[in-house]
Amino acid sequence: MINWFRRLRARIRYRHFEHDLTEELEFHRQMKEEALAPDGAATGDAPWRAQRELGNTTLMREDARHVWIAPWLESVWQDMRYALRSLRKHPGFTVTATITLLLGIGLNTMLFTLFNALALRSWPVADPARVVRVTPLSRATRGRGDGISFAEYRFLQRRATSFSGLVALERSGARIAPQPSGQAEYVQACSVSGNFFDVLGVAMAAGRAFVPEEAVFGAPRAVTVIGDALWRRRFGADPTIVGRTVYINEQPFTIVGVASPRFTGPDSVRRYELFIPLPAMPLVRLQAHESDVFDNPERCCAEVAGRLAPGVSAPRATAEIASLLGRFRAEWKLRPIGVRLSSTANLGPLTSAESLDQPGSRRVLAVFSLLFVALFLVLLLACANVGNLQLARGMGRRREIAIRLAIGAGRRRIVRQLLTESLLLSLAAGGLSMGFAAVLLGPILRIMDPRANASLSVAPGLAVLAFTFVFCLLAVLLTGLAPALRATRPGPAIASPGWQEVGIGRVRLRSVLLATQIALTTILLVAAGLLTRGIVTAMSSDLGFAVNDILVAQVTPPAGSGDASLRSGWFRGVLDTLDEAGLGPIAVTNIAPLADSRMSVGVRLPGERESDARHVRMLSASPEYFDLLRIPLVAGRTYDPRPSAREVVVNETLARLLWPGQQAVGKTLISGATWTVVGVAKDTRITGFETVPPVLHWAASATSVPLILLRGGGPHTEARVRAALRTFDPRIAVSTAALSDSLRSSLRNSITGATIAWAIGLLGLALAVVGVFGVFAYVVEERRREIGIRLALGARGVQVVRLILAQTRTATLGGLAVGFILSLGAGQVLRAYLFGASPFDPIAYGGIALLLAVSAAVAAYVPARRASRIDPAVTLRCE
Amino acid sequence: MKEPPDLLPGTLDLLVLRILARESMHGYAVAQRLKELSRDVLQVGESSLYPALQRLLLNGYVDAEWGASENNRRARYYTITKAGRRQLAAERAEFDEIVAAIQRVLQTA
Repeated sequence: MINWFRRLRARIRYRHFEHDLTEELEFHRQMKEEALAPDGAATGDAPWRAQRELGNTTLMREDARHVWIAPWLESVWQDMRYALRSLRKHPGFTVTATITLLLGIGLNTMLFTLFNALALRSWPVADPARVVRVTPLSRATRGRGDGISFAEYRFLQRRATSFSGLVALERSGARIAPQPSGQAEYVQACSVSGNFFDVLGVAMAAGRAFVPEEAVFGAPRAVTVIGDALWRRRFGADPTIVGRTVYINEQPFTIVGVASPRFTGPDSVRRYELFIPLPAMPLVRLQAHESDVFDNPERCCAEVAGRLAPGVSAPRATAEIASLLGRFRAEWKLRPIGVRLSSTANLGPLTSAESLDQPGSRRVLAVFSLLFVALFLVLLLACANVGNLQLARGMGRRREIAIRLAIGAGRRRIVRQLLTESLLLSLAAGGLSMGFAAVLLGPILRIMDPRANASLSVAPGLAVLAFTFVFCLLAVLLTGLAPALRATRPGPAIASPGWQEVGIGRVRLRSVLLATQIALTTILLVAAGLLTRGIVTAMSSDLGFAVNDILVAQVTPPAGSGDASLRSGWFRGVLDTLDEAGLGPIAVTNIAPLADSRMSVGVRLPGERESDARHVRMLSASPEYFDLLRIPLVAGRTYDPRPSAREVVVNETLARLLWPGQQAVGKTLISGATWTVVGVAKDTRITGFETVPPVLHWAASATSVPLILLRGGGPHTEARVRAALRTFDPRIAVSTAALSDSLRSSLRNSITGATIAWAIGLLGLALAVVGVFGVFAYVVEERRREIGIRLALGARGVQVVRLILAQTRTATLGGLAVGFILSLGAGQVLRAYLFGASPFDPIAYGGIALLLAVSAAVAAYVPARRASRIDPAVTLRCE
Repeated sequence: MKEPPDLLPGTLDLLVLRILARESMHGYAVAQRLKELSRDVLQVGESSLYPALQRLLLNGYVDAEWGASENNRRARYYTITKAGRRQLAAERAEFDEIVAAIQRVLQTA
């Protein structure tokens, strides 16, 4: 340990050290000389004999020095200093290369920071790595006995030893108000087991967490813990908040604590502001549950999480939970299910995903993957540019390197030194990238989506640092290695002034880089072009149903309206009120038109097996649906709303699918029960913008689906609706939207996507143009003498330009060809986002080809012109 | 003249320490002393001596100080430290062990 200090001191006092050693060795030599002198050697000879016998003092000094300072460390340090000096001497190159790399690495870093914040972060609790979610392995949605019921949770919580605590929770929304009749605010709430805050290790900013007596099933107490933001927002950070009463869904609750500001709920994205004990849920009717939901093992479902006990591994805990559950389910004669433990990081930031299997999270993952690929291509482009720059610079330093090689430097050493330069450039770019990501990402997100969750903190963390570093290294390899190897290749000996090499091998590398740049840019631009064509197709396609005149209203029954039958009566009342107010005709449905819902059912023909069932989209609506939306029925009639009639309407695609070439009306199909087809509806884009899927329409009981469709899309109608409903029930919560607005907003995501794609594509184009410009400029510079001679001999400017262009012709055409071929593949990948436009859309490809041609011409123009303007007298003179 | 025998690796440090244990001296004197005491058998090249001295300095077994030599030149004098003496004793014991072991094998094998 002390040695380290000594070494450090020696390093710092380097020159002093050197001086000491030199003096010491000189003394030794002098003593030797004196010892030799009386020996009879010629007096003039003694110094040199002494020196000879002493040996190589330089080597000795170095060896002595290497005792103190590790030689490899010293040479690395030397490389760095040399690289810094060299970069400083060529500021143009350094700045250009750094900015280019910054673009490439920076975009990737920003994307990864966003991804990290949204998808890879776990719950904001203590030691989140030990907190896991316990999720059932079956993919079924909430059905009977297909998840972990509350009864099972209570069983597990008492018996699981591999967890230091298991918590259960359920998420919902709730209205909170300081006074019973005051303005209520709708917030996200969480009903949690009594040990929630303790197990997760959440600190309290005020008051305390729940105690076990407050969370006894069957004897609930009306207590709540609120979030820090809510405390500040609604209660002005009142220090006497503990003990005050608030009204949750009009029920009085006592605040016992305020959670610490760091804890925004069991979610890395959404903010949960209200926590009540699970047993208190029935007090506020937070969810439509049956009364025995906490005791009956068949009632679904609880979300279960827990903290692993110290030293316990996840597989062991999984095994224990699985066996405990198995025991329980066997006892209650339920179907066994598997469980797995997963991290609390959720990959479904834009939906309410609570498990990885939600379709929403899959789609978000898909979008992220596409973006990653696109930005990686941009990085490759940037690296190609910088690689070309390095090549050019390497050529300029050929003399210097040749001399060093001749003196005796190892090739590896010089390559290492050149790579150090690339490393410094990359690290600089990487450091700046992280800075930009930290500063710019927040504002960019807010511009793109003003509704973005303000609590989303996109500060780069350790993961982002590691990611950036890896990309920096990648950039070094891509931009530095090949040029460094090329520059140090033992070739023609020391360059004489004016000597230029026009070797074939070097040109090939540069051509490859150029071709790569062109190909990558092509792919990016074609992707953007196709996406745009897709949107144009979507917007211009005939939707097949009325959009401009329809209002979609959603009503929520106030809490405490009773159980299912009472609610149904209430809903009937709503519809009657609307009808009486002259707002008919009315239809009800479960999915709004154009809503991108993937609700599907299995459908098979009589006589087919269960496994042959096809999955088709399902829409339940009242019979007036088709009429209201002006969807023509090409055959038959609309269905009878009574469930006993078992009538359905299919769309043309489904009819073609099940009974190709036949009349569908009158046929039967099986989906759960046997249904008769009474009508065929024309294909419409009611389900969204993609290719029309087969759709099954069946009757919805007028009181069991949430959406009401009415004629009349203006604000006037909206006001009438609200007024009418308020007379029916003043506590009603109504939200309305005109269908034409939905149309616009359903395309908004796609438009944002296309905009991003164009931004990336144009960035790539800019990089490529700069790269092409650089290459041409260098070619001209390189062949300056030759051009001068040609011009002197009588060549015309045009011929010279053609000569320059010819050199890069193969590369350009090759790059274009490869680019377009790869774009065909890209088109296939993007098919899902194209709304039916063809991935081989000629307009897109043609347009992009034109754009590329123009850009290439622009990029080559200036250098080419400069070439034709070369004054032969001048070039021939400066040798 | 035949090549001087190679020193066992690591013994140079031991020898230098021992020489310095008697009195402080500068590098040249150490070299002379070694040559003298070993009756010209061990001739350490200066190329190994100075790195050895640096090693001892690094490990704290000797201290170095500039002083005046016999003929009033500036020379660097090395003095053994307490840690150096401890190390000397330890290495000496180890060396004896090794040599004894080698002898045993040569005699009885």
